[in-house]
Amino acid sequence: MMSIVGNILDTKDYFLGRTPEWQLQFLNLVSMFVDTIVSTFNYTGLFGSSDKLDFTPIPLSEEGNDEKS
Amino acid sequence: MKRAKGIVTLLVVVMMTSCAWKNMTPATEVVYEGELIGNGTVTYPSAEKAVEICMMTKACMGLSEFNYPLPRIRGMGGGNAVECGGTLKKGCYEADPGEVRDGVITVPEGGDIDIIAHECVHHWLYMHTGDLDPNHESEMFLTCGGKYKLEGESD
Repeated sequence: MMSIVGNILDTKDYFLGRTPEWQLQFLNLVSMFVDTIVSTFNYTGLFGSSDKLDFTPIPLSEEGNDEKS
Repeated sequence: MKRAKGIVTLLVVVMMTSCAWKNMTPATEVVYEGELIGNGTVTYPSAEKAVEICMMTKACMGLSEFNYPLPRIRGMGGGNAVECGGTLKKGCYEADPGEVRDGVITVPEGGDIDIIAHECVHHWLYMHTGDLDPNHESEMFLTCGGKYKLEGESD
């Protein structure tokens, strides 16, 4: 993702005449912003995919006993 | 600039609402108690996954060759945390130093199943060394304890 942003900035800087330092600073800012969003989603568990503990009772089948009789 | 302010505001709102969700409430009703895989006549939907996670934790800790018993489990309803040593946590492991070493994992119904890995590290440590390591000093919590490592949210 950062390389995509870098390429976009390279193109933009060519026309605007900005320095590589500015680009590096901007990339760091984008990186921090992405990290913040990812951390927020991880912390809130908004997109958590892990299973939840479910203790709903399931009676075990007694088919084995039925077959014997 | 306005767009940036909007994004920051959105993040703050999400963070604040998530804090509200994370309030821990004590689960006080026992909804299941017995063996990890089921208690003979009744089992539960998460049993197979819980056993799988606990056995994977054992293998991760290099203890596969030892024939230690699985922990028992107590599922609690009515809240999202369990009382453990006077504080509310996402899971709790209690060692049972009887004639045969044993232990019980207590977890809230609806909790994240990954907490089983953390509690199983306590269990296998207790089985192997006799010390369940309540202070999480073993590196096994980092390497084998799933995503709940040393957060202090479980025992």
